[in-house]
Amino acid sequence: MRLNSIFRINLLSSVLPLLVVLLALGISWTFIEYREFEADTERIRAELMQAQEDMIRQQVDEVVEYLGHMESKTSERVRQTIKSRTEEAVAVAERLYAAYHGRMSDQELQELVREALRDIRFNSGRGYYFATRLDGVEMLFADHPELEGQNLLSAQDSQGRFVVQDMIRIAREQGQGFYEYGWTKPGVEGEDHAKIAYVQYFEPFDWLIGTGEYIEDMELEVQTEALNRIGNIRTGPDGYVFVLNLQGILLSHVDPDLQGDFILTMRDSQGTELFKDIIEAGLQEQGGVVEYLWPKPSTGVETPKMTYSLVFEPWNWIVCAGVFLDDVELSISQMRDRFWAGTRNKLLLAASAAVFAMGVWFLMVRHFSLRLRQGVDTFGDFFRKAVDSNEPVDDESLPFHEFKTMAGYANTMLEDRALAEEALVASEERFRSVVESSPMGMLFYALKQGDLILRGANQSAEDILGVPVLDRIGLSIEQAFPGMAEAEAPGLFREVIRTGEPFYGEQMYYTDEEIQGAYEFHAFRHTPNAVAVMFLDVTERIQAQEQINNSLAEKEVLLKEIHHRVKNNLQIISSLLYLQSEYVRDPNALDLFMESRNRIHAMAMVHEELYRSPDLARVDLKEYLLKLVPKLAGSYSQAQVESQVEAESVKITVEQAVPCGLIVSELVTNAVKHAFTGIENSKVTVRLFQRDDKVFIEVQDNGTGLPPGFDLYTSESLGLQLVVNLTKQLKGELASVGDRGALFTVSFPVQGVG
Amino acid sequence: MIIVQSSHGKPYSYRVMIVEDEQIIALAMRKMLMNLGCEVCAEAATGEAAVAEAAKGRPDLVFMDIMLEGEMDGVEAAHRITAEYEVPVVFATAFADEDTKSRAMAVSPVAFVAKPLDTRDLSAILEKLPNFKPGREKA
Repeated sequence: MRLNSIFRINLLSSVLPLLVVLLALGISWTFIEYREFEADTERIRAELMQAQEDMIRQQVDEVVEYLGHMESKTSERVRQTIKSRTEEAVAVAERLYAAYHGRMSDQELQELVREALRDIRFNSGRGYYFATRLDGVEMLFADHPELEGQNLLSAQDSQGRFVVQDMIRIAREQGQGFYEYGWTKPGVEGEDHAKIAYVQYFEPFDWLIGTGEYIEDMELEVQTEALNRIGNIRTGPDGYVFVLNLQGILLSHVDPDLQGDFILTMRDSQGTELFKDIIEAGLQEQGGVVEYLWPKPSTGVETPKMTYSLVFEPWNWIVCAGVFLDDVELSISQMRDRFWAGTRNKLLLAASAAVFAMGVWFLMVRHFSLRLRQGVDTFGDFFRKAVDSNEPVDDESLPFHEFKTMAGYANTMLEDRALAEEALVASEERFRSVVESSPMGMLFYALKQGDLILRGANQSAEDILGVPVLDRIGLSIEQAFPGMAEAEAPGLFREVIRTGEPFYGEQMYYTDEEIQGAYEFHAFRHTPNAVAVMFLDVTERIQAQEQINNSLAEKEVLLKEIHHRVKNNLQIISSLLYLQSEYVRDPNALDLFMESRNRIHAMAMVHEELYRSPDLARVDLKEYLLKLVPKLAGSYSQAQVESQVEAESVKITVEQAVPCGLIVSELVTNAVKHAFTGIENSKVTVRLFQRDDKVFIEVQDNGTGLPPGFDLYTSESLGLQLVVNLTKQLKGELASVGDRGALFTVSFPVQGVG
Repeated sequence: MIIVQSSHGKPYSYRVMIVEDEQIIALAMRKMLMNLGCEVCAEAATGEAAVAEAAKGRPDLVFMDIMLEGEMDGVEAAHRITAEYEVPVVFATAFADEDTKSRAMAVSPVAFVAKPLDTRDLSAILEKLPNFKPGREKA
């Protein structure tokens, strides 16, 4: 793994976050801008659509207004036309009358005027003149000459109006005027063609001269004119106005092929019956908008189109103006291009600013890093040198005050270290001197690849072992001490290293039972892999101890011998008494001998017990009584007395054992000799127990009991006197109960050895 | 002088050897045994002497003190006497240290009796002698 340098990290950590932040800022800014733009786009699209719609609506409204205007002008135009035609005809008549009056007969003059007017046609041939004498006789009827000369006063139109009479009245009363009526039409069936006429009175002949015009003809003319106008309306390359009627005939369209076609069931490529929709929309009160696909005139490509349509009710025309919506999308797309161009410029500007800022930042950080590096290098240098010298940091050359502070600490540390080193040297010196001057032999082993290597030793080790161990440092334990190979020491030392448990031991070398050398040694682990062994030559101490032990053993033997000797002497006394008693015939005297011998036995057995006892200072009273009591019970031949000992193990000193033995001896003897006169199954029970530090001895018999008024302390019996006095010697207490058999209780505090 | 009768009413008439280095104790024992009807055929004060006397006199019973003068102690002597001559032994000591006692037990003695012996102790021992087969050292 490659280690990272602080400076690289410093640089990276300074520049990278900035980069990341700037990038994030740029992205988020662009994103926000874009979102705003998208929202704007939607709004603009809607506004554009609205504008387009407004535009086409206005266009349609204008056209409808124009049509209204045209429609309203139709009748006026008709009137204007026929009035001026009539005035022209009257003018012709007046001219002819002025020129020929008097030169011709009225008959001839009237004929001249009539023929002058007969062939005049106008308004696409529909217009002609008529003249009626005010008495109702038709003078001129260019369209129907066969009616001339007839009185048409009775002629009515389809509505029942007396057309000729009405005209005559206008001429007579007003001189001239318009008249509307239904009438026949040249080349067309029917008599109810709305017609308007203008008549003027021509006084010389007493005629009215007039002409008329069919309103529908004039209307068609107006409509054609209007359609021509409409057909020429263009807004841009692809904007136009078209018109259809409610029957689905296209009256005006930019495409001349379609003009006049029945297009009601036409569909666009998406299947929309667009003209039905257009008619439906157009019939709404405010008109309506329909969207569909239509070939664009400029490209011929089918393109989304929005059309506004509105009915022109007088003629039942649907006036439509459309706009191709790709223009809107084109506008949006142009806006988008402008937006991206703007954004790119802003981003470029921001990026340049960021690069510049980063450059500045990088330079600053690099400068800082270099200064930091200078500081760190100074410290690195310091630490490298500090390994083996105490040269302080030159804090003047350091850049930052933190470094200066650190330098201060480092220098303090260095001073402390110098002091510590001195102290360490002193301490090491001290400990070295302790090790070197220690009378204790010291060996230091380290475990290396399974070998115990001697790593150090002191002079005392060399002196004690008598081996130049100091020359053998670096050797394995087996090489350093060839005799050690089979000894248990290496194994022990390895065990100490393994377990960490210190080891203490003694090693002795005997020669002919005499100690030649003894070492007491301690081995302990002082580092995880090393063991220190310290040893002392304890030969002298062991020898001294051996001597003490020997002398102690000698003393013990001596003491045993003394007890043996005392016992032997007591036995000899006993034997002497026995031998003397051979010569006594008096049974009372023999008894006295026996009592004396028993007392001697009791004492002798204490000594026998003592010399047998392991500690020579105490006897187990239980063992003693178990031997003593049966012997006492059997020593008098007067009666067969059963004896029983119920004893706990109680150890007492020889000073107490002898009085004890004698007391028991006296009490048992007393019972055997005196208690059982005439008693069968006689029995003596001796109990021994200890409560706390008090020993209790009870001697009980099942004999006759004590005599009335018996008092231990005033008894004349030697035995009981001995008991009283020996109890006193034991600092004990004595009690007797005598109603059923006798019970003597002796209790005394147990005495320590000393 | 009290003559203690045996249980079958007759005095004990064994030939007995006493091994005891204290002459007064030996004398008292001799008197007691004689009072019981025994013949003290030999006395010895040391182990060696005891073995020699036993070989010579072939007693019915040996009363053996354990602590004797000389190299051979009572147990050793008793061991040799029982092993070589099949003579039963009584150790005339009640107390001995454990080591000695276990050695003594290996001899299979008739009894251990505490000194000083008295007539009653002796008669009890003599009483069970007819049924006693002197043992060999086990193992």
